[in-house]
Amino acid sequence: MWRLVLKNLLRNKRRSFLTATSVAVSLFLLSTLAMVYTALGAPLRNADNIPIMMVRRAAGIIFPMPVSHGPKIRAIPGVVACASLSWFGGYWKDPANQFANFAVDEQQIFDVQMASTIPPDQKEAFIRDRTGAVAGRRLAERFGWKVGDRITLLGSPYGFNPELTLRGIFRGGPDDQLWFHWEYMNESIGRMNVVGLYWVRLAKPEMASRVGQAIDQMFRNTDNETKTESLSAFLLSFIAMLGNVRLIILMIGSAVTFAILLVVTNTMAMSIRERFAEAAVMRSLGYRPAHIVGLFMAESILLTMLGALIGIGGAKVVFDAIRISTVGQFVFADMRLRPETLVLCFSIALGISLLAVSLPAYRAAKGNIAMALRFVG
Amino acid sequence: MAIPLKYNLRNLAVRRTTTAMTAFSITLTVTVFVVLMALAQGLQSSLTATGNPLNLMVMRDGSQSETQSSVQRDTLQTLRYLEGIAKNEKGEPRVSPELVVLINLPRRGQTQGSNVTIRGLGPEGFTLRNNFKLVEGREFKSGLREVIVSKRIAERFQNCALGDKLKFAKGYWTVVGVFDAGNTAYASEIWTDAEGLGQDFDRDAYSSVILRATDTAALNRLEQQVADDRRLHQKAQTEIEYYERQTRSAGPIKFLGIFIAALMAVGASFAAMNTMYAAVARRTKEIGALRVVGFSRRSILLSFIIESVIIAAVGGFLGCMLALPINGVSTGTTNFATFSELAFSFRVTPELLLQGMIFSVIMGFFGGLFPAWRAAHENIVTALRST
Repeated sequence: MWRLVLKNLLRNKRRSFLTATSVAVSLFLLSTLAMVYTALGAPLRNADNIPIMMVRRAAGIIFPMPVSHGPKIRAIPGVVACASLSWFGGYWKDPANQFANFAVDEQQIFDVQMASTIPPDQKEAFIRDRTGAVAGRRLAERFGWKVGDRITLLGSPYGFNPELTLRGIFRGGPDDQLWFHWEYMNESIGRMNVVGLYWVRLAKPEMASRVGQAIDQMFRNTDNETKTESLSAFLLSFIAMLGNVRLIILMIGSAVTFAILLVVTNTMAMSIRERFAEAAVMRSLGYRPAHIVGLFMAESILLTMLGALIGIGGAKVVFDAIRISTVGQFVFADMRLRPETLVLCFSIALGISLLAVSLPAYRAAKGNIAMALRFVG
Repeated sequence: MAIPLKYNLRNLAVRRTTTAMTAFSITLTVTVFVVLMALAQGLQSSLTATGNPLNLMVMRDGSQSETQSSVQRDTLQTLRYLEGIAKNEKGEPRVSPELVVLINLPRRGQTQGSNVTIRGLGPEGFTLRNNFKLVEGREFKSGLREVIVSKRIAERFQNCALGDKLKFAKGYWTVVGVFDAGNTAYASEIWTDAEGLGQDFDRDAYSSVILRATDTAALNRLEQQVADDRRLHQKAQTEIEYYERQTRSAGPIKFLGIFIAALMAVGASFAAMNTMYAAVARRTKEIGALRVVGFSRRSILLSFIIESVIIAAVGGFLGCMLALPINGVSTGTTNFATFSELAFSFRVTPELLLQGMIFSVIMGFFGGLFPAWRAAHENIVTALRST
């Protein structure tokens, strides 16, 4: 039986090739859409196991909070480390050189952001130098920075241009950022004593909800109420700003799915119609309708799955190779084709192949044999 | 001599199902293309439609957006008496000092929110905008914690309807009016008076100052005067320039639209190719006959290409029709130039529909080219003998 399926597929090689390619390209697109869709819904996988929380002003992320919040947060049981992070918004040399730069709590930042590693001597040098800075590996590569370089940040809304010395380069974590001493910034802009937000590291991830509530409770009914949330909730709040992107992706995805269905149905209908008489011959030889439907079905599945393998597999290989998550930055830091997304895409392909073949196969397998034998296409 | 079009149309009618399926896969491609482009177009045109050509915007030198800028009060006094500023009936310069702050508001039906621009205007602020129209309620009174909200924000965000109270800064602000600002960036804002807003947020400085020039010549002179006064550290640009620079946020959407449409087009034109190859195979004998009667290879080639283009054009037309209802549907995203919500509507323009049609014709042409080539190069004798 399998030989028959294969022979039939190879009978019109060009058609099989065109259909499989068309399915492959469309499924490549579909799996790309699915990847973005899942990344937007759950920016981090295993989000519950990451013992990091973000504290920001309840009024909105653009409002600063007093630096006096820091020691109070650190005093809460379960908090291991707590580092401030203030968006600085400068550029290097040219306004086109935009990148993320933050004034941070230099003592604690590497204790909180444990995904980033730095040689101990470089870290030591960074902490000792008041105008020192550290940059992520990718950022340093982008601008060709080396340890010891002088970097002046321009054009920040704070109206001050810090003259920094690069003391270290860290790997991992948000490695497209530059960090420098918050103290340096604070002194230069008139001691406003405010920070953008706090990153908090917990002893255990399970403590998240208790510690979060404790922090927010402490500042309730003050002028500077806080909102403490997990890293993934924090990222989700950024994603929410993009608007209803997921709905648009879902709509495009359904259009693509429907288009593949049309292409495969068309191919199967054409090839089955050409073999209407053949199917009738097989039936008169004693094959049951179920056999014939099964034969066509196997053909459709084989064709579609071949396309799916190339399309979805290709997407997986391509996105892994270019490390799409590093292109996505920050919000999409964990974007990749996750196993569940792959399963979903293959299931869609399987569903399409079955749906596409059912009606024409049924028509060929049922009905009057004599009429079918006379059928001329 | 060309083969009559009727021949193609009849053939398409005979193979209704296949024709319809092929056309519909092109329909889907064109729909997705037009919808995504309409999204980019809407975002872009809401920004380009903002601003009066005679309005100058003064901001701190080097700041990219109003939210990052600050203009001190004494600077305002200098700016007010620059030469070339239009005067109102009372003889006062038409200048509006403005304060822009962002607050986080939850969208309707969601807990997550977005940053919405609150603009505090000077007394002349209203008259400097041409598209402004109050549609409900009344204008705010200074110092009473009253705001007016644009229609789009009122529709899309919680607690923003007439009579609602919004909590920000030091207290509750009452929504006393709803305004319509057409299809501009102002249609995504909440307005109140600059002084009251400044007091509540403990802000001494303004974010920007809007000046109305008497004419274009005065506009250029004003721009120069601000640049020349080194004490000010300010930069003047026309409102049009300022908003135009933000339109680059539509770039990624356009790129996405083209990327998705291109991949879908490969799928659709391969489907068209399949259909056309089948059509050629089924009509081999006919093609032979046509050649015998005297039609040239060229007419056969043209005829099959035309047939494929007809399928695609029908699909493309349907696609445009399907995309049309999205026109005017309002949506919103964060404008990352200002880090604030920009509400706008999808805009399906005639040019966009034309692009959609051209796109479908291209798909049809490529889908039909190779099968038509094959049809034109059939050997007459074998073609006639085939079943």
